[in-house]
Amino acid sequence: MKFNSLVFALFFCAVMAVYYSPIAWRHKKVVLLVASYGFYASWNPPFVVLLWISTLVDWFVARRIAGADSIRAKRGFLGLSLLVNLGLLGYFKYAGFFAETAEATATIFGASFAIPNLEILLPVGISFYTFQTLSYTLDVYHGRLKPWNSFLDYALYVTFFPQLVAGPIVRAREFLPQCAAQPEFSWKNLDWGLALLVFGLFQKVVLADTLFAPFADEVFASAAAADTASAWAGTFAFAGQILCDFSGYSACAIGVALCMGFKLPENFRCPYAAVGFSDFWRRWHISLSSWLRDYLYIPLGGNRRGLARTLANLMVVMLLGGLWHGAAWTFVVWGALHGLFLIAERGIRSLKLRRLPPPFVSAQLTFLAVCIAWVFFRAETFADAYAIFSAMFGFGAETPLLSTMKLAQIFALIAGVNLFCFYFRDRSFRDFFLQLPALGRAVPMAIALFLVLTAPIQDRAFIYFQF
Amino acid sequence: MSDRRQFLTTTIGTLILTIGLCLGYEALARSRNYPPHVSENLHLWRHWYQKSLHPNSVAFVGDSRAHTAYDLATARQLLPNRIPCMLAKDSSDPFVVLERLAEDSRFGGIAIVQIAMDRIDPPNRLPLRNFVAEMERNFTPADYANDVMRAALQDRFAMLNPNCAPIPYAKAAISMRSLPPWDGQFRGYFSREIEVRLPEEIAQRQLAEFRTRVYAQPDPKGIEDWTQRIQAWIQQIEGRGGSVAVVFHPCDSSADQVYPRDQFWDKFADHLGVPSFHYTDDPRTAGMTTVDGLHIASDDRQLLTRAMLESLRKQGLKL
Repeated sequence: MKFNSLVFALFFCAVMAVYYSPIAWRHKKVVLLVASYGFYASWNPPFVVLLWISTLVDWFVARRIAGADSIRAKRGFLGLSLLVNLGLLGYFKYAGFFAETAEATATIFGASFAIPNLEILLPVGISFYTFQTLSYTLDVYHGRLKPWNSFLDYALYVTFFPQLVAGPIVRAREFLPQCAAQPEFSWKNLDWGLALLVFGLFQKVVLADTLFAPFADEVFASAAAADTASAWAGTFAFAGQILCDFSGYSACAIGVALCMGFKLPENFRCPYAAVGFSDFWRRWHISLSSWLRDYLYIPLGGNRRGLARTLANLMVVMLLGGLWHGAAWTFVVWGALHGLFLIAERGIRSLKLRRLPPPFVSAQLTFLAVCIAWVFFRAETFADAYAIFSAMFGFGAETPLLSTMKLAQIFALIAGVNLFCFYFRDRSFRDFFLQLPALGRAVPMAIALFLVLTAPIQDRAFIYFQF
Repeated sequence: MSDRRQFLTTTIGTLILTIGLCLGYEALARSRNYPPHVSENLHLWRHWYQKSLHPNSVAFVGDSRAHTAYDLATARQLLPNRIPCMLAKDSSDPFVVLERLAEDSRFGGIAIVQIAMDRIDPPNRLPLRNFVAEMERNFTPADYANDVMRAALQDRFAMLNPNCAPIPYAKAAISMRSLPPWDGQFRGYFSREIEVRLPEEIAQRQLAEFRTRVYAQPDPKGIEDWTQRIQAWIQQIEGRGGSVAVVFHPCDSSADQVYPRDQFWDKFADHLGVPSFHYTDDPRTAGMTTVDGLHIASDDRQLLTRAMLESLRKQGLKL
């Protein structure tokens, strides 16, 4: 069930009607849990079983960890959780990838064997809820959280439908306390929640699907025929598409949750206004980057074990971050590029230069580098990525792939997105919007809603559903 | 102003403004003769297919030429006791669908099949099985429910299918009043001289591509084989009390050159022995042309639908 669908509109209205009916808080939570399972089952009903497995395993493992009296036993239970969760993720997401890689490696060494096509269907959102349940177990293991005493609350934490399939990845210690008592009703929350839902849909349906995606698709589908301007334009179009697609989904998720009084963490903070790459990762998919920082980078030693280890840790985290996004080597290269960017940034910082470019210029340079990495994220093969790169740096086709009109549209659109990001870089869009008079808010919301309703139907799922 | 009042003013204001914008857009679309039109979609196709299994159904079968040419509202008006169903779909092959209807023992309605001679000639036909396989792919329950609801709304509101509406996404239109998609696209970006020349150049290039791709020299043996197969499907449908009619749409002049009516269509229709309609049969549609080499203008949809159904009824098709 996509947020941009009629089914979701009906589903949301029904859930809201029951949620705000005069029933006990416990019953409301049961309704939310059932609705969340229904939401997930609308993709593929049998996969709800995976959700149950993940929920049950981490519920019992966390309790066992808390009750264990030896570190060995704790480690054993943690190992069990990692085995089950990462095993499921590995099987459903990476089995095909590993099989293909093994085949290719064997071919390089002269051996020849063929693994039959596994045809494993990827359960939607598995990467998100796996990380979410793991964070609960890891927090209990490290003593940052006591095992929660209500299974209903815990099951709702794993399954809560607004963020179930594409995040934000919520931490148990942020969400579970909100389940203890019904969040206090606030008109302001409802107001901002609905506004986020409308603007999120606008980002997804109008900006990502209708304005950016067709250009990105056109260029990446004909990578070999791209000229320099078209290659850059196609890459910019994809940069715009993926930002609006994913931050649009996050806005919808946060907005829907807020309508029911639940606060989910911010996932995007104008990432294309980032000055430098560490700043970029503090603004892009914040819930994933902070998860990787807390549960991977810091346990690996972070920056506490010397420069070489710090740089290695950065690279490991970014490589695994790349692999988390997709089971393909192009994603690994995307992660590696970001790892290199972060390492280079550290190098530049260590020079302690007296004069640095102004923030706007630095932000645009960061954006250009981020766009270069997006080529690997979007390209389906290395050959396509190579063709786009060649074109970007002057070795492409001579005949223009995109018309001047299309190029002008893309550059204007991405400039608009970047200016918006830069304006709200250190400002809160929420505060800006909520201080407007009521009718001043109604006009942009009505225009956004109208464009969402009348935009051509693309039937594009949110990009991050596949991760 | 209290938070509650702020919320109510914003929400009610948003709803009123949105409804106003939608009504205005709907009026604009209709004033420019863009009727409601259900978008092409595989889920919707399955939805229509289920409807076509009703004994009173009239299934329109064809490719994008038929999908953009038939006006379901006109069909409903002319056939009050029937259920018109749109089984025509972009890039689909009419014969795959006809075969499917023939083999489906539940189908006993009327199939009006748009015949494109280039689709009969095997070397030019699109892969048949891919389409069927795609139709039968497993969709998520939510997608299916969503599309069924969407179809019902699109069938009533022109603004909900902007692929066929005038603004603001006219570039995506498949059924336009004038030559798409270049009409007006370049306004203001080039000198006036180029502006005038460019659309025509692009149009000619596109038409040339169509001709090369679609209208290749036919293989008479292939056509004969296919005529026999089509005849067998027709007999299967008629055996269950259903009927079939075949229709030939307005087309690009080059199609007429490659497939002259007297050498192809007339022989084909006579051989099948079912009610048939060629657009030149009716003086109202005889002069119709296509806007892009394949599809008729949206302005002509109602007239073509009316002329075709009236002609088929006169020939004894129990509509």
